[in-house]
Amino acid sequence: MPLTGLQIFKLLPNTNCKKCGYPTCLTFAMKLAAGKESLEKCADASPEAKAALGAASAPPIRGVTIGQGARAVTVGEETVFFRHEKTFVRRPGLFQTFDPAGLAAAGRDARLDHWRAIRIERAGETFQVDGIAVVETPGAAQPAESAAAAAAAAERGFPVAILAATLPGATAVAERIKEHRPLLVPPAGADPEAYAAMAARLGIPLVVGAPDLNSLADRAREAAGAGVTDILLEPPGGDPRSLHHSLSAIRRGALDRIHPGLGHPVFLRVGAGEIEKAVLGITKFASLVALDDCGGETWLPLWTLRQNLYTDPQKPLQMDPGLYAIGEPNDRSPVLVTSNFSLTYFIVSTEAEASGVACHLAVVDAEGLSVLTAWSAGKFSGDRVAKALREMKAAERVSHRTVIIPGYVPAISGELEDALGDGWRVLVGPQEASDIAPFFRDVWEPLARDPGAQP
Amino acid sequence: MSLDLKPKKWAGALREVTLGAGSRRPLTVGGGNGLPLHTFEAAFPHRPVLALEITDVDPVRWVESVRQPWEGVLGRPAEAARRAVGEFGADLLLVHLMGAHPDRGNRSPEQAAADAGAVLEAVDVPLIVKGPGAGQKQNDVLARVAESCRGEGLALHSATNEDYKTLAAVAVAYGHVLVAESPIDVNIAKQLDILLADANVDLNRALIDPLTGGLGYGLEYTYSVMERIRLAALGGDAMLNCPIVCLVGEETWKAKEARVSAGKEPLWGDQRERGIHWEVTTAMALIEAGAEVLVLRHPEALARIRKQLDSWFGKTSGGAPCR
Amino acid sequence: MPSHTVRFSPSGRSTITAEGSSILRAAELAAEPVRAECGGRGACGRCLVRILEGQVPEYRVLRRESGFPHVLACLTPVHGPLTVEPLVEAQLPKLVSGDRYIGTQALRAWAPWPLELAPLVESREPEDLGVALDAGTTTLRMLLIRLSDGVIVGEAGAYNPQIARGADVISRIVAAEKGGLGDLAAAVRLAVVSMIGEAAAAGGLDPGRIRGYVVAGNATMIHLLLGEDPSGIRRVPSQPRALAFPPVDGADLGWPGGACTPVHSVPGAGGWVGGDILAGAVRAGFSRAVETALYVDLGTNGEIVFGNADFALACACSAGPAFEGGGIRCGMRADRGAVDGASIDAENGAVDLSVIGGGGVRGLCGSGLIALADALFRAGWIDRGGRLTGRVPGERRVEGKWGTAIALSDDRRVALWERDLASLIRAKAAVFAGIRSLVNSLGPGGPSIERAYVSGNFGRYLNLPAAVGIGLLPDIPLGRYGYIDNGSLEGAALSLLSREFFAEIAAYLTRVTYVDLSELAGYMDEFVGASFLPHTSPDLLRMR
Repeated sequence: MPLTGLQIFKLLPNTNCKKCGYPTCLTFAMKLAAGKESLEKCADASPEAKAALGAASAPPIRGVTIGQGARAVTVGEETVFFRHEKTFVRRPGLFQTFDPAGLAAAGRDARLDHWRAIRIERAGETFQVDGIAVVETPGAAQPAESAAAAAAAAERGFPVAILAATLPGATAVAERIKEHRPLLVPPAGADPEAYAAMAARLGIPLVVGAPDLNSLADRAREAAGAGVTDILLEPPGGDPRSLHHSLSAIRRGALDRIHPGLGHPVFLRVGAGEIEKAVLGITKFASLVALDDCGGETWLPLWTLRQNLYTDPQKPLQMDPGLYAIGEPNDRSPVLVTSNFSLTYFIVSTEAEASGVACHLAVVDAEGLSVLTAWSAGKFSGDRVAKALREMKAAERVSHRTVIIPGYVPAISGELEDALGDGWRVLVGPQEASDIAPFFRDVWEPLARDPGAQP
Repeated sequence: MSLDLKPKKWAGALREVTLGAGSRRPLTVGGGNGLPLHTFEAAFPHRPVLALEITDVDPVRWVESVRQPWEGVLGRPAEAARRAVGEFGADLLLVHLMGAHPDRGNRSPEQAAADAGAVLEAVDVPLIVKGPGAGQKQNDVLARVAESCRGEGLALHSATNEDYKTLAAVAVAYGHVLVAESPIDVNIAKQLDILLADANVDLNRALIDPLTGGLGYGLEYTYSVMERIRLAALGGDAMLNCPIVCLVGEETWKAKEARVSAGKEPLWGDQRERGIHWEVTTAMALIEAGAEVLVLRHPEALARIRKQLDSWFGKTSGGAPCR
Repeated sequence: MPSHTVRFSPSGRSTITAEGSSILRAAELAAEPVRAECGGRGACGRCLVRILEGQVPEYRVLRRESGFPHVLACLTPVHGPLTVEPLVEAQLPKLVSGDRYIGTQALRAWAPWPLELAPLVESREPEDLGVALDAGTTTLRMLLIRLSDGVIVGEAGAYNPQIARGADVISRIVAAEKGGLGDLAAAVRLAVVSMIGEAAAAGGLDPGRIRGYVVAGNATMIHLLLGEDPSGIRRVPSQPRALAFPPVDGADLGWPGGACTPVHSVPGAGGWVGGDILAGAVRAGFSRAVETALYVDLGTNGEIVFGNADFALACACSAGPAFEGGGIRCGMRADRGAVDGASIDAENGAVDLSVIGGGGVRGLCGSGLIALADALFRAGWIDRGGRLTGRVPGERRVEGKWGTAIALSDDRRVALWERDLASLIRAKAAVFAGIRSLVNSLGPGGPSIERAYVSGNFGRYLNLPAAVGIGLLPDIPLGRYGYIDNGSLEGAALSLLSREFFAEIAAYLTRVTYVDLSELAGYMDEFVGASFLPHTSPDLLRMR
């Protein structure tokens, strides 16, 4: 269990010397507790403090890195069962399964280049194929084919997983690309010791599978005992129900530290047409998923799901800043400004909709805080609102130059007018959202009819 | 070494809520005493149920790949109902009275009641009736429908913190179930249930709609709010243990990722498959977070989700013979 | 440049103002309190005045009533002599003044541990005086104290004239940034001189006998008073020019006193936790307490301190003006005619209101609002969201253009509106969420609230059961609560009379950690949870 702010405070010197950059030891302790600082900053931390903090912070699920270089994938180090308890930390890697059997080099390279070129931008993130899971096909000529394919993938910077079929075949591939830290995935029913020995010898990460959870935990521990430092678990369960059970049990068992063999990230294989299995994997803690060949219609929802679940839930629910249309506004419709705290947005937009007057709702990034809170924290100033309105190109959407601010922050009106310039005028709107309809009726409409009048 | 994986036991459980009465074949949801789908350690007397959305007028904004399976019956509620139940296997239906919205046809409360009545005649599954939004009009429409379909155990969608008194009164007066809608916030969901209970609504006749954010458009917020609601319910909070309903179809098919053709975005793959995947992914994720009633649009999405649920709960054929 | 006389009615205040400057500026110079929430930009519409005599430009006239033009004071230039009457919207309610404190031996009454009389400023004659000043954002309060025995001999209160530049600190900082620093400093210094004159006259005292001053206020108020640039305060992170300023000579501020009359300001712990709060917390005994205590200032900024001798956490939640009667339709300060208590007999619908000074109901002050909300809730007349229920007797219901209300006066003109209750709920939610967030920020198993102090300008007293009943304050044994009338003023007085006390504040501030609620994950969640009567999850009200 991580230590609380108070527990950490009691381990610190309590001199408020400020060498760590914080005004008091208590501030520093609270930052440490929130995971936003590291103890190194405290020049005078005692050995006891270092030991206590070290032990408490070792993650129950080890981190594992596959591949190396810029595109290496690191997974694990998770600390919670529910994302809202804190956050999920390391997004799972989604690998493309690749069977090179029967492909000439040119064809093989073309596929790899195609996958390499995939880039989809969404909400500030670039979706790419994270790695290639090369299928090793048994047969005499084939090891060379698989090894060549693995090498070609690795050369293109992809992290590689080896979906082994035979021990000699897998060895050949692994030997070929061992500097690239490939993940070794034994076939179902394989001899765990032999693969563990190979992984230990080559110093590469290994997937450990088993027909049931007990054996899985034991085998993982044995593999660790045999010198494999980086392990992923492949959970038993051929149908959604059993798989869900395994995934949940492994995560819970790891967090409760029931068995050291459970404290590893999870690996999952998903066939074509099995998007639901991948969804289950991503929601239920899988760290690496190898998907059979499928197109963007499968990748895009999965990438988006991963993006959604692995955002930090500590941030309050925020709307994306921007100009939202309420009803069907035109260039003469009023412009209302509000913060991007979702609740504020819902309340204001509901009342605005109910008013029957179409309008533009300018949602300003206030870091998910309500108007009053944001303003008092300096996050809803005239300058900030002006900048937001410019970014939303509000001036292009309306022919008038009036903007209505929430009634609780008349103080920003001067600054806002100055910052907007260009003849913009600020109207102080109602304090309560429920007064939006009367405000439109009693203040906006007369003004719209006769712009020269004073409000 | 044998793993000591103790099953988790909880103090509380979900309420069981029965949808449909009178001439309906009733459907009960909820009652589970563990985390969603954790059948290995808890008991779930009822499985999540799958509804299809039908509309009173032609939903012109539905993208073509969703309209296609409904061809010929869009905007004809009784016929759409028969297809939904007979061919597509829906467990229940959501009748969306969008045509009553002032901007979309402004159909009267009487017309709405007639549409609802026609659906009641056509099929015998429970109905959720969704109003047109638009404040007072919604109250008028739903009150009229509630009165004319009294005793049928409709689920009226929806009451909110700001506006719940009318629907609370008609739900109680005419024997219906009330859907309590809150804007993705645990506290507000609880506040609404408290206000409803104070207004004499029996919470064993209520569902929670936490407002579904579709995949890519707030899914994670709904997901976490639902997990928190489930944990509160299992911890014994009697104001947060109504079963949850998610309007997945409506939210997911709005997304551009569900609608844009591969011609415009070649990397995005086939639009028809992609849209169905969008709906299925949202629904499956929310089932894992605790959804007990899912409202969908594409029958193929429904079929795929049913197949998944069969793994946990055993095969059912869903739906019922139509009249 | 010609100048003109502007007279204000009915107060009789007047001033001479330069040709072309605004009526609002004249009000500022005359120390006539006129609301100007947007700081005089013509944006908030609050500074409405009626011109009784004189001419104003026609294009500024909004309307005429009985022939008298109504204009916005901030936009209307003075081109000749005027007699001006601020309209109801522009008026600030009257300030309580009186003789609450006179005769009190401050050390004996307020010292949290035995303090010897050892004034911070040098005193030789038995009639020497010292001044303790609470420089609040909205109100100034001052005590004249005899240094030889620590007895309070004079007191006065006034509105901070800086209100004309905006109701809140940020708009004043902005005004200062735009070159208004000199005016803002001059205005508040002059107001103090006025108060001293008033208190001295009332008590037959000689201001020349003043030997020194101790001022407690938030960082912005101190910066403005001393003429220091406050712009750093509103940066993130907040960077005031200093947390502790060296004493300045009273003469430099234009204040009475002999040669070398020092003005000490109580140091603060940061841009948002000022000397006023620290003075109050140390006055409440924090610096020597073994027990962990809570200090809540129920003002606009809602500062909260939680700690003891070893540590202190402080935050400011933006509660808004509801506790001081602001933003409430019929809100007023605690003065004659203000409702400050209420009880309701649910059986027969009888409403019993306690009114300051007896007599007719003129409005609602902060403590009345809290008491009434609690009484209404207990009687079932409002639901947990603060909306009227069917139980409100028909004759008490008022429907108007602001929605629905419960009548309080016989003529139904004074009423409590649903939107007022919404403002109250929002304000109390901010405070309670701040308290919970602060106390829980140390993690589970942290210290509990063993004592609690409440301070603020909401009335003569606070109905604690009502405050707990609506979920404003935590549900802890009532015996743990203490009420401090004005922690800032009392702390300033103790500082004046005891060097030891003043030094203790300076030492304590190094142990204070400021917590920025807007950075605290979960604060908005707590806020929404607390936006219910008494709370969405009432078991969270109990804080051991």
